[in-house]
Amino acid sequence: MSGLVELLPGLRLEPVSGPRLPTVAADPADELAERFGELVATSVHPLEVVAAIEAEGLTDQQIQQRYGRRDAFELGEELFRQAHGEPGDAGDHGAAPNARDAPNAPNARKAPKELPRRLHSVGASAWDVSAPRCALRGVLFALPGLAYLLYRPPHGLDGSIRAALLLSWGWSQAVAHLSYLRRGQGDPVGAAAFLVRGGAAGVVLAPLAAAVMPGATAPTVAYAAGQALYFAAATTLLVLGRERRLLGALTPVALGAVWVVVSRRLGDEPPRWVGATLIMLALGLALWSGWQETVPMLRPVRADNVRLGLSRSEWWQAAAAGVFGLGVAVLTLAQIGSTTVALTLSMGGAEWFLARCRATTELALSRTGSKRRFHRLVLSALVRCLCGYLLLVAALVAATALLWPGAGGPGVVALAALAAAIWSAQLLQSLGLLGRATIAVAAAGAAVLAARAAGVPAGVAQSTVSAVAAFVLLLATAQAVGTATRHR
Amino acid sequence: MNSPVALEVTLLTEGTYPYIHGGVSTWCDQLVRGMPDVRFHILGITGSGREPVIWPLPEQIASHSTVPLWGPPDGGRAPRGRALRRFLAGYERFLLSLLDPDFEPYFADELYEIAEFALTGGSLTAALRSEGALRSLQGVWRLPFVATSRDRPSFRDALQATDLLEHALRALAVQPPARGVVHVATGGLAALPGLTARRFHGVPLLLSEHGIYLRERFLGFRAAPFSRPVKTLVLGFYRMLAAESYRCADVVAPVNRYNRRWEEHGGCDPRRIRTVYNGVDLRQFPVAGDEPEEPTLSWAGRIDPIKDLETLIRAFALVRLDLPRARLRLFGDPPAGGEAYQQRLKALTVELGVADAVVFEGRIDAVKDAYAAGSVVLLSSISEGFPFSLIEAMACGRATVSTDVGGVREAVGDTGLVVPSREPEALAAATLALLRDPVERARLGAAARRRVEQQFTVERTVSEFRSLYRELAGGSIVDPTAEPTLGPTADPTVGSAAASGSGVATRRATDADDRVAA
Repeated sequence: MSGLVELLPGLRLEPVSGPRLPTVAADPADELAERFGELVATSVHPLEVVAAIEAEGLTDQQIQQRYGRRDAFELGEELFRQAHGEPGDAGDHGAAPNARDAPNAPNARKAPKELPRRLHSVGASAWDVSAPRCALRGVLFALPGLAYLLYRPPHGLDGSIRAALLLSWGWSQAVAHLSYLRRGQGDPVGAAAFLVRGGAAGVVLAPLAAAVMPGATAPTVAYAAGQALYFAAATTLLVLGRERRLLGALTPVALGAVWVVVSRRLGDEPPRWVGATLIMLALGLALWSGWQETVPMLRPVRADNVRLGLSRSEWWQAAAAGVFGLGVAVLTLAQIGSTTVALTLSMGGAEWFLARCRATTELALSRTGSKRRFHRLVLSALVRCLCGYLLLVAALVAATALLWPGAGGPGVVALAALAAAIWSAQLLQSLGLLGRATIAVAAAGAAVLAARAAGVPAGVAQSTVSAVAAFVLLLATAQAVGTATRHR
Repeated sequence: MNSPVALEVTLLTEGTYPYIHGGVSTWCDQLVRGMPDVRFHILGITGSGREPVIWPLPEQIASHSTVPLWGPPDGGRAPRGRALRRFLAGYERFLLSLLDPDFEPYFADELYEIAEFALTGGSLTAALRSEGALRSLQGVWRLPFVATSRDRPSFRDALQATDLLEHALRALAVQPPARGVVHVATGGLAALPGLTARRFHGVPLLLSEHGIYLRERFLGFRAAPFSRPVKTLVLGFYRMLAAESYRCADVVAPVNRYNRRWEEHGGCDPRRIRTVYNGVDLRQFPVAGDEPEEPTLSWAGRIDPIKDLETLIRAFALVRLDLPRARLRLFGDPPAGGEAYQQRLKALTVELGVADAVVFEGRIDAVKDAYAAGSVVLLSSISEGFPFSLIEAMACGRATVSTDVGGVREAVGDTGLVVPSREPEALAAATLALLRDPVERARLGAAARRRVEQQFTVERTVSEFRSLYRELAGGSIVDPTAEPTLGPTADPTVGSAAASGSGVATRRATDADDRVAA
């Protein structure tokens, strides 16, 4: 088809003026290089070039006339061969071995891939988290502890309140897990529904647990109910990433605590009702914020549109997350004191180091194809992040000791062991091994309870069990991070 | 004419009927509705598996099922120990056949081995997601003689490629039909259950192609965010799958002769290729009435870069230099997410000073009105199969100017003008010639209508497929040298592949006899 348009017999067209490409290319090689050079360079097979030539609208006739090739296939194959050699040809190596043996053939002839030392600069990734946010979360985990300064629980941390605290802790973990699941599935309404309903159920269950314990009184049950309300609100705000709102809600408690510390220095003690009022104010603010973040979202949606049904595996996961939280709570509460604040504060740092460890291993995935090198990279990342986290814990313990001379509670070694156990369990959980992490943590919790029942002192029980748990969990974590398929 | 037992046809689709509107879905609907006497089973490969069925399914559809490519994994366990080692050894040869031309002959056997594994209770998903499968890939594609080794694939690449392969192969785990005829509507992944049905139950396989699936995959992957080794491996799979489909299909039925080039290049015996053109329902597209008073150009379709409306608008600007009264009406919407292209086109009309004469009409229900609205109907695409919009315009008796792509030339014949694609001047010249010659326009329009009536009616398409089904089911096309263990209609139930075992691993000769008198 050499004409401008294909004419019908008998139909005459006036010639069209204007610039047009000459039918035969002046220098086919040059024009081809210009027209298809980039395409050919990035293509992986001759047929990719053929497909692109056709998509350019070039017909076989045009190819014959302009470039002197029979069709798109011939042209595409020639262009590909010029740029890449034969398809499938790796270039500088000899004949292929037998197929049966081939996959096992040594591939040591390649020089090991040179890895850039850029692994320290973690790029954009799902695990790219901001340090200030993590620090803020750490503060938020620790702030409620100040409420104890403002208002001592009715009978101290007795069995009744302790039971309610353990239940609320585990329950909120399960609820948080489920709503994270829904958020991950792109269902924010479902996530909000779980937070509201799960939180409400927790508010009913925790006082019940407090009430059935021996020594329960009306004040302890009321205290347990307030505590459960706070857990529900705080879980909601933390899961939805509304840390600032929670911080705002906790401001009265923080200011009250400062007041208490200052007045004690002056040999005075503020009246108890002030502390109680401030705590109630903070609780009210937290509930109000949590309500605002969830309930209006549920209103426009009819109840039956929200997917509240859970698959069996989701039930199991929620239960495992609850038991996980319970185990961590038992381990932590086995011996607490003022130094435990350091551990609570460090939880934000734990999140940061965990995310950094995951981001670094993800980067290692794209930086190497060699198993040995991959293992070296991820294990060194694991060790670096764990050490970084433990240093942070030690620094926080030291800071607490400075600010608070003579503070009671677990020593730095016990806290470090506890921190290592919790951190590696969380890492294991983030790698999709919630079951393993839960078994380890639950076993540790049971061991602590058994040791206490056998009369072992709390400090010894906590530090020994934590150290053993940390060791086991770290081994499991090291195995898991070295498994590439875990990082899908 | 009447066979004692109702003919059964399993129609395999991917991403089209009955979930999506479009040309291929229209074609499927035409076939199913056109054959009330055939029992159809529809097996649709979809994305998430939650896509609603948007085509009303007529009574002749006996069953309908879905294979979601991106649904959650099946929850099975990966094989262990010796079973895993055996699976991985085959998987490694399979991978090698995708990467190295010397090992391509292994593809078919290993594909069916994998299918057998999946059909006899093994969880293919779990096996492919195992650490062992990942190591296998790392071992194979870093072999020094394989091209991908130059790109030094990382673990990230291996994970990505394994995931893509795992999803692509999910259709292998579907129990293949054991009787009747299998009709693959679009080639590609939908061919997988057809291939296993052919291999394990001897069910005859009819392969239709509208575009060329492989070509579209190659084009689609150009913009995909995959690294070179991932692209090489996955496209290698699609290439080998196409080759195996062409090799095994008893009849390959492209919608135009142009597509035969790819099929023959892909190793299909030319004697087994039978072109079956798309057809128009003449009742829906009657001869349009009088032309509009002003000289009007009309275009109908999806507003998409592949339709190259930029060339159309540039050509219109040239037409308008000579015919200032001319107008251009564009009927159709951009697909979801493709609105930017329409904005670009509008900007172009402003730039060329023709914005007042170009109207974006949007989608209309009665498409025939779109053709009636034009004195001349234009098609400016850079790629087409056998465009419905063109034969519909022809059915309405309008003169057309189209670009020389795909099956356009075959559709138009000598009843319209054909110009090279991407050349506004050529398109403008041809259009002007027609606008200036009402007699010729009327003559071409009438000839176009006659051509559609004679060659491109839906009745003709349906009857050609009906006779293909009959021939295939009757065994007159089936190669007698093939040795399926089960006769095509011997076992009325869906058989288990375990019964077939590796005994059916007889490969059909590539140079099989001519099964279709073409």
